[in-house]
Amino acid sequence: METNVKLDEKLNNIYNLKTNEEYEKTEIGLNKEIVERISKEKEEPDWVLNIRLKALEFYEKLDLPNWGPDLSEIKLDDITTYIKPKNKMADKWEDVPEDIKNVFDKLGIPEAEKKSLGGVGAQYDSEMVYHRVQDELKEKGVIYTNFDTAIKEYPDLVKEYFSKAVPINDHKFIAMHYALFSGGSFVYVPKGVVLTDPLQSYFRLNSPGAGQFEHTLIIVEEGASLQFIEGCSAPGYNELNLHAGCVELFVKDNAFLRFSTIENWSKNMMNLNTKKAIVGERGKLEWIMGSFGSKVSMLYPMTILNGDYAKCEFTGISFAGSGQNLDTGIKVIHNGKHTSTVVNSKSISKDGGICTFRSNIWVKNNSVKSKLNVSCESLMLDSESRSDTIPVDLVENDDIEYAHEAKIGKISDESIFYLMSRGLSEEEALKLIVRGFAEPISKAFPIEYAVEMNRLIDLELEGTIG
Amino acid sequence: MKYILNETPLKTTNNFRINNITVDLDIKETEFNEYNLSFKNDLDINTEIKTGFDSKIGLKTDKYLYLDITPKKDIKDVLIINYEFNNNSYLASNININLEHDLNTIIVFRSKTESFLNFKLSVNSKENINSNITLVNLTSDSSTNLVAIENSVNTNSNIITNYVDIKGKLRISNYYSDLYKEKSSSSFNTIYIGNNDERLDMNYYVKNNNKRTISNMLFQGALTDNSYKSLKGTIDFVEHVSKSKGEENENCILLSDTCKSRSLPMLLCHEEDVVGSHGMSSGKIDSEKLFYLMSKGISEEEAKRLIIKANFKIVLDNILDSSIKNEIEEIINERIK
Amino acid sequence: MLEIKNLYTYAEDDHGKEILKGLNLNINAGEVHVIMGPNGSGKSTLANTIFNNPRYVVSKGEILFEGEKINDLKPNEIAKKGIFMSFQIPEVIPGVTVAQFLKTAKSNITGEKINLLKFSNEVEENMEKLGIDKSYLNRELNVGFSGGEKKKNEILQLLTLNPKLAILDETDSGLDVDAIKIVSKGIKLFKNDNNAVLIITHSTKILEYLDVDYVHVLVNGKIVLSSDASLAKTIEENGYSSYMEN
Repeated sequence: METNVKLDEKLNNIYNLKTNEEYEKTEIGLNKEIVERISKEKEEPDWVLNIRLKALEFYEKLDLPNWGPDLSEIKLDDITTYIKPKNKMADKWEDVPEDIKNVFDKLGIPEAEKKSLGGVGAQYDSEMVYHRVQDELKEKGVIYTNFDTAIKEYPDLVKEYFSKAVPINDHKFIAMHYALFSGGSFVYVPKGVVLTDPLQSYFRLNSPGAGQFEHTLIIVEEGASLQFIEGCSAPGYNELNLHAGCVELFVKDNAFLRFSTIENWSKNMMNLNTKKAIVGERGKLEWIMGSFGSKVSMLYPMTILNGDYAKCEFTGISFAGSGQNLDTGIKVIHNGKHTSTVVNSKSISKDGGICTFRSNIWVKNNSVKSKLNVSCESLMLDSESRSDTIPVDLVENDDIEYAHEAKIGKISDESIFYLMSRGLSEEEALKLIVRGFAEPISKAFPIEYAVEMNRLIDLELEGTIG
Repeated sequence: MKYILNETPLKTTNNFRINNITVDLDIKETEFNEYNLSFKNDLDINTEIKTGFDSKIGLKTDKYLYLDITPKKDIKDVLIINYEFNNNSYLASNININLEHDLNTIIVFRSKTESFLNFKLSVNSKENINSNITLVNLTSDSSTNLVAIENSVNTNSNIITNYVDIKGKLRISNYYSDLYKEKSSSSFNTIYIGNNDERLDMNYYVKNNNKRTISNMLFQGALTDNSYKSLKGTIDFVEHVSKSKGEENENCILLSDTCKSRSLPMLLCHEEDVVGSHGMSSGKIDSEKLFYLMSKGISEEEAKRLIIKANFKIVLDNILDSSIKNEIEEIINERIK
Repeated sequence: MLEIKNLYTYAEDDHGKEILKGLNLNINAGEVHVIMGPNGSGKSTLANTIFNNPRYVVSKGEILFEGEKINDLKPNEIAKKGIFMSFQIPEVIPGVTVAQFLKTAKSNITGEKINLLKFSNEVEENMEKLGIDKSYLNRELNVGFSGGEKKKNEILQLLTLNPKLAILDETDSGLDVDAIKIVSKGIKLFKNDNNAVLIITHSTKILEYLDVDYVHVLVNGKIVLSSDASLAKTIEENGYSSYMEN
């Protein structure tokens, strides 16, 4: 029994790796000069700079949201908005600076690449430090690189899609993102190309008080298929860190994309991320989301089902512990006939943690014969915690089937009793039941991640009893 | 003048404008000679005209008619209160019921021409009370109805409130139930129909505010033509309310491809040891049920009515006066086409 | 009475895949017909198509009842013409009582206001014959009904609505002896020289309880063989396999 091992100590071993590096150049705050300097540093074309400057204008005009978690703690003027990398991006782990490589080694990223991935990207603070894709995929025309490189090497493709899913004025933090974006992955899968092994980008924010603003853009052409995994983590500091990333996904006719995220930001992170997908005819998008970290999260991946028979599946779990406010959910717009949405969301709150499931689902008048099934389940492990379900539905069409259900509850004492009578300790019984609750979600992840998720759950539950 | 009414207990995203409703209203002073108030099974009821009307809907007005009802013993017969509008009248009124004993009440509003109702029902119960209260809107098609219902429920008491919301061009309703003592419970059942361009905005909120409290909300509705309804139902388990239960169910049948249905079934929870759930379904009438009934010779219209009236049954069965019940059924028949 | 000419049908959600492929059938007053066939041959589709269930679409051919084309009529209009269909799995309709349902159906079919006293006497008489307790009338339609109760309820509807042609979809109940007894009793009570019965079934069991005039074998969306009751015996012994090659 490891009940007495403190959670923080445990986590220290893996996620809490700090480095003593000196940063060559950092920017603090957000103004025109900084935006221009970042753009210059990156040797960007004018059209990109113009988007940044326009976004900055919106940023200044837009207010903080008048709903959801309290964001007043964020001192926007003090956030480190850009950290210049010491090295150029590498495509061999050996070329990644030793201290940074050490962090990714401990996170198991190079190991995973060897075993089961079609390609890997790694971002450290503001910039990607590593990107590599299997040669075989390169030959098929698959592009997997960092976003800055994509702007230089594939300007037409980037221009066609960049900011087309997520507009620059969507909300204050997306405007901030577009003014400051740096790093992130660009993926292009040509027509008909099916990737069997997933690609993975890992985002690591190591500097205290810093912001990360990566932009990920994925285009899956007609009939193509891709699985993409995103991992996020950061060590804990006393200062607030800010993550305002953006993900834009384009899933064309008959294409498939599974976008999985396992997020374990440290508990000083304000995670204000924006994700949006546009799905074409008979295309299918699967969101798989595990949210464990951050102090505050506001994250509602959006899907626009634009083509007939387009499908969206969302499978997600949040686990909020002490001091955490995880406000997550989904947005879906049904804009085609026979479109379908399946949502399966679970949350666990404990030690005063707050989980909120928030959704916006719009079934437009033209989306006849659409089917929707939304299910949310929340587990409360104590009464200091909170669990709220706030789903908004707008139905403009009679010829659909829409069922929505939500449940809130605790672990039954009888279940614990039953397992204990079979020889399990109370803590083991609790872990087993919580893992069982999370099982339908964890099994949607690749096996390594399912194991990782169960480990995170176990860690969170350690020392709960007694 | 523009008013922002029916604010949700907790704000959410602004995309679907569900947090409140903005309406343009022309508010007049209540002219008390322009309506009739009648009672069946009279009780000792005090009426007076007061000033400073305020309800959770959010529209404040000046003069209003105040009725105070305090039963001195358990009343077997149903108390029926009829409000009848004459031409073009505006009415603000508040009924305050102190449930020292059990009482079943039906409150009916009737108007033949355009009318404006700003009504509030406040119910306070003592311990061990069982009451069934029904509000029925039989105002004209061109009426505007603002109806607010508030109750606070004491130990071991159960208040059932039924709201029949089947007529009126603009209907804003608000329900607030405070289960503030142990083992208190409340049920709120609404049936609604929207026709033509009618607009409905409902904001219902139950607070499970003590241990072993039970809240229930049921909404059964049908929308036709271009009608538009917005339903916000919230169950709130606050801290320290162990062994409480809350359930919310909504079923909305859409009978045209131009009507719109918006819902926000909120479930807020700050207590571990509770059971809370909500379920929502919307869409057209079950085609297999329709086919079954039609294959036995029942016309499509009649089959739809049968199915919808069956959905409404729980509320209709709660209406303890057969002539009012018949009147309601006839209006349902008229409105489901 | 009923004449089906060269009927082709597909399921609404599976366009292009025909289930009935050129089916022909004639039923005259006074006759009892049985359609038999293996699973997936189109038996249930046939009953549903006659009643114009929106789930099925007729791509070719026509259905005539008493010389009039009924393909495009709504289910209730078809019922009004005098056809009845019993469901294999009757819909559960909460909130509507059996009495309310029977009354509404009867008045819709006859187009007349129901004389309540006369009507309830009639219904109660039928219930007695079928051994149904009076309390059934106040139960909600098929809610919590056992298989036998549902079956009795369908037969009660048959006797109450008294159609010209009764189509009994018994696709799956072939092996349930109680169900067969109820159905055959109902048919005996219903049947006279002016009406007709069409039984759709998988097994030959029901024929042990009933006198039938014609047996048709439905395979792959077509009637491949029609004969008298003796055909059932052959099928019972040999199965459908010898007809499947066609």
